Amino acid sequence: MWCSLNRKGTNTTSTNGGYEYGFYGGDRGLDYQESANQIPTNDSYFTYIEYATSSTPTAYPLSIRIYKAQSPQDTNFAVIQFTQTINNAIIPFGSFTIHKGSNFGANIWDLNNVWNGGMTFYSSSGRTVSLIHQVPGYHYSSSTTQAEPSTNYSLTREANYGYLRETNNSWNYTFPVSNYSANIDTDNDNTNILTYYRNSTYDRYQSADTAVSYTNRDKSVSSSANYYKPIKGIPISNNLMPCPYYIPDDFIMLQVATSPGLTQFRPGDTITVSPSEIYEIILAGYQTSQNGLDNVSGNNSIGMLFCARTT
Amino acid sequence: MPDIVLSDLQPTSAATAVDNSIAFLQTTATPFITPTISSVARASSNTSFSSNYNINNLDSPVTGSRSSTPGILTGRRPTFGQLFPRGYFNR
Repeated sequence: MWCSLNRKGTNTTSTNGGYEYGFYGGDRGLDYQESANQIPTNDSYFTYIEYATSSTPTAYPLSIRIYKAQSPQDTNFAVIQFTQTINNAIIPFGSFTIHKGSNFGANIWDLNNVWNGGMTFYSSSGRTVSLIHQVPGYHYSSSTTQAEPSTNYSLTREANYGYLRETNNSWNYTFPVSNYSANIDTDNDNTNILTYYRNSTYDRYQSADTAVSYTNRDKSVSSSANYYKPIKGIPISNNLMPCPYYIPDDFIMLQVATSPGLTQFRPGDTITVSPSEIYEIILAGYQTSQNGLDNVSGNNSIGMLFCARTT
Repeated sequence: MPDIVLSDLQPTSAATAVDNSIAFLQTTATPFITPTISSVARASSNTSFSSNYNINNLDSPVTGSRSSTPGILTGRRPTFGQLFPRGYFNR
């Protein structure tokens, strides 16, 4: 709850106004963090969103993109993303979702008892797109939103505290991360979510052995087993049980391995599966000039695409 | 101190961890999609993409002092590149 009674609010002339803007109210240790319930004037030890390049951030056009689910899907869900156009390339920066609405946590928590202060941050690295589940706030040593047992810095009544309660002092332990990585000619990590893929062209064994007894020297899995599809119904986090929310069906993950090897996947690029199934890339984790299944050196760009359906 | 009653801590019913009717579903009946990706078209296209160049991207000039004396090619006929010399040299 944001309290602005008897505060100057936006009328303040101070750039370091602190409580002049207002403050988060409620009960200390349950609803707000002591001395950290105001608008911070620096990002040290606070959650922040990097929304532009750190090098000459004002030199490039800035855009704010919003990908919002449409009715009958949950219209409370949206992905908000900052991009900059740098040398004609659309570069993504802060991408996030603010958890909102009664569908979130339905049948797990009751918003009469707890409040939802969670966010999901989307990031990419290598061939991976990650969903990072987090409750933003102040964090320093054991003074975190998720401190367990509760302290004057914990947000015990925040709904996600039920999942993220953490007795370790490290702030990093309070981030469940779901890693969606490409699974086509990729060295898998056992923490990644693996997507089903079959391609009879490459799911094939050719033996150089010419012995007569080996009559089946070139065999492949039936092409009827081929499988390559976008996947919807993405859990808001693959690390929470029971799952509090599923991202609406218009948001999908699609792994990709394609030539030419220098293909760059940018926000706003389109994926046309059919005239009635078209997606727009929100965020891509990919690597260019890769040696793919065709085994042609540098011929592939391989990665994972987080997309929104537009048609 | 009141007794701890274990039954107070028992779940009253099992909750579903992951809803299979929602989670991780395929979007299409097509077994193996062959999508058209605009990223690929851009990478393959021979069309140039114009860009408003940012003057701030230019490198800064070399710093330091310059010599006030002419370079060694001053006043000489070029040995290649230009058919005719500019000006009258060695006349």
